[in-house]
Amino acid sequence: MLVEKYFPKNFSEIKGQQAIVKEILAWINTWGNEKRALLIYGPPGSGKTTMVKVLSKELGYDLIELNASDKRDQEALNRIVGNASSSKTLFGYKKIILLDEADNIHGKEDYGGAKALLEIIKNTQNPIILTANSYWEVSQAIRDNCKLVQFKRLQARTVFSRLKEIAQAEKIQIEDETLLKIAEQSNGDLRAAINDLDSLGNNILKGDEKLVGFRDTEKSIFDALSKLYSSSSIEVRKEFMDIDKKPDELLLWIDENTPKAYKGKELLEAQNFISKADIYLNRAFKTRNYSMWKYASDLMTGGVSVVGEGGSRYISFSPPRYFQILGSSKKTREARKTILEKIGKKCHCSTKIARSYLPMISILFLNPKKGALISNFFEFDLEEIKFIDEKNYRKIELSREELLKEPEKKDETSITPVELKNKTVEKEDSQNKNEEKQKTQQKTLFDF
Amino acid sequence: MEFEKPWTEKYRPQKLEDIVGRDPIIRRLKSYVDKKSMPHLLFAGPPGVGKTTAAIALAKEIFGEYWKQNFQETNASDERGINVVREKIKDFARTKPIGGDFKIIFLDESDALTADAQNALRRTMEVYTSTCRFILSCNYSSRIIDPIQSRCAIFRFGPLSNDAVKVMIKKIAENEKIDLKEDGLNAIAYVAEGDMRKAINALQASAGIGDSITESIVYQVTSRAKPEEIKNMMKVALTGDFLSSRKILQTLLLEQGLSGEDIIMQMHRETFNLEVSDKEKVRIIEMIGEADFRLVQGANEFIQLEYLLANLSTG
Repeated sequence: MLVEKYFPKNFSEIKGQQAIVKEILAWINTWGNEKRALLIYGPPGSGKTTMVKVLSKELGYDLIELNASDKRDQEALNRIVGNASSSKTLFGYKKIILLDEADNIHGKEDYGGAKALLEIIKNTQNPIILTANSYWEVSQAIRDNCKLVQFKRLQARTVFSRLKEIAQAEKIQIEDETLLKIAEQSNGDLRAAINDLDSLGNNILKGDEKLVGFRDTEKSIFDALSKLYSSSSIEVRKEFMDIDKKPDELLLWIDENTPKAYKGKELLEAQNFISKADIYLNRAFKTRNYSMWKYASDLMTGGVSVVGEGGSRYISFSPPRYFQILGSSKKTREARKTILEKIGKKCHCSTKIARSYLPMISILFLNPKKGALISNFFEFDLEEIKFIDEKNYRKIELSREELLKEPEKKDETSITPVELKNKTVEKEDSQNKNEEKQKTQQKTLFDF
Repeated sequence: MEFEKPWTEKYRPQKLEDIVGRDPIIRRLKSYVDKKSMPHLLFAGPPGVGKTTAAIALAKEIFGEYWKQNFQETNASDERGINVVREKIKDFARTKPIGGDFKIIFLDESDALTADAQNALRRTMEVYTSTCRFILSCNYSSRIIDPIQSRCAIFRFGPLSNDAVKVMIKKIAENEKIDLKEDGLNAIAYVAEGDMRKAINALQASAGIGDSITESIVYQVTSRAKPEEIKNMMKVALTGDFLSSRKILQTLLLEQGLSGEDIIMQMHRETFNLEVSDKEKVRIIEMIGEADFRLVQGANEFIQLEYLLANLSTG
């Protein structure tokens, strides 16, 4: 891999970010006077991680790295980074902690990660460097505690000169013109450009650059969206032709951002075209007549575009939350589904009808014994009981264990006296706390 | 292991004659028991009116001790693909009945089957008719393709009468030794709207909260079961706040996994409770109707319901 082979070994080999090198060196040399963490943000391939790696190497620091493929919840951060950040170095080595892609610390999966990170940044005994693609994706509390450095997209000329060095060293046959085209279409992403060069072999002909470089960069979809809302023209549909997204996904991108561009009647008209586009997509899928896609594409791009007045103004576009929400709620949806399936099986009904049992079941859960008895019938496991009632699940589980200890009663009617006695005792309790309980209960019920 | 059943199961009638409020239907079904033979049946009617109960009771009476071996229950709304018909149903249909001439496949919510699946089903019904009878249940018989309807004896289960609901609820209350007040009983019948499942669940839930069941306890329990969020979503949209209403929609549809169909049904119901003029209500219903239509035609429920919210918020 050329990318690894030509990874910069020292500052002089880092391309196009000379002013920033000085700024970062100054920060690290006077570390402790200023903010204790550094946030480097900028587009992919602009050299953020490279910079940190060269820095630690040149200055003789140990680099402790945690990137997005590692789990970064509170516990992991405290274990790995927390230790490193608090301990002064053994044997006099100095450490730099690198948290790559800090904008990808997720609320759900990396639970508590953002909070833990903030604490670590405030108290660290060693320099911490965070990298991110977008400034806005990092929480404000963290931004406020970091020194900020922005990496700009590399210029095509800068990318070109590095490609040229590599091509000469590798004895790759290529004309400057072609090399420049590869540089241009990389959109300032040096890593991508080197990979493209790498994939074309040792004898590169004119026009070969067209074989590579069609990355599904988010930049291009953002550009296309920006034209869509600023042009008021049906011709804008052409902007979307090269974007490598399936039409149903593209529709969600447009759907997500349309309310940012339009209000009132315009918004309604635009949503109408989006809705119609979705109908054509479904017709295409259902009849397997994919020529229907063109109507969907025209309506979602040109249609939504002509609704507006045109004229350019700044909109901050974002990717659709649709997949994000589906992803982060997957676990709860699955838990709910198994619960409903269990109910459906026992009560001879569909999961849809099974939902109507949930309010009743969650009321029975207010009384641990009743909760245990009904859970036994549906064969709910602990996780499922917890899902239905996060507050009372321990009590129900205890009561369930009690039931196991008692000698089994075969005759169902013989349960009744025990239960009735139990009921009157528990009732007073539940009457007293009725209102309070209902408030807490409410949430559980509404969750369904 | 000791357990307690939900009362809908504990008190599900096991014999045809125990089913309340369905006399004409029960008489016809009993004649099948006497003859030990029956045609394919189609039970049409809203939820909670006794379709499944009648099917199970019929199977028990026809097959006696072998009823479980000769009776298969499949829910089409959860397994709606054509493969259910091709595999699960066919496999059961082609095995021999035990201790009798035929067996029964009960296909619940069969109006959820796609048209393709229904056509496959029609063939299966013909091919295995010597060893297998079908009981199809559905909410709307119009959603069942004509060729299937013409092969079935059709039974229409309307909503149960208030009196039939009350008879059953009283019986359960007595057996469970619950102090059920007269106004509590009336309230249960009122909220149940002829749906026995709803009535019994309301009774059991009420018994879980109060010592004696009064009107106020019943309303307290049943109002909590109502999805307030859908009403709330409509209200927010009607104030013109499209983005907030869209957020609620994301929660309902994507996080909680409600179906678009359920949401639109609730929205339609809630329209009558909105504090707007009747003219406005009619306009809203027209919008909901259009959205319902598009929901069926479209691919993504979120996008279609979102358009409805845009409509509501533009006014």
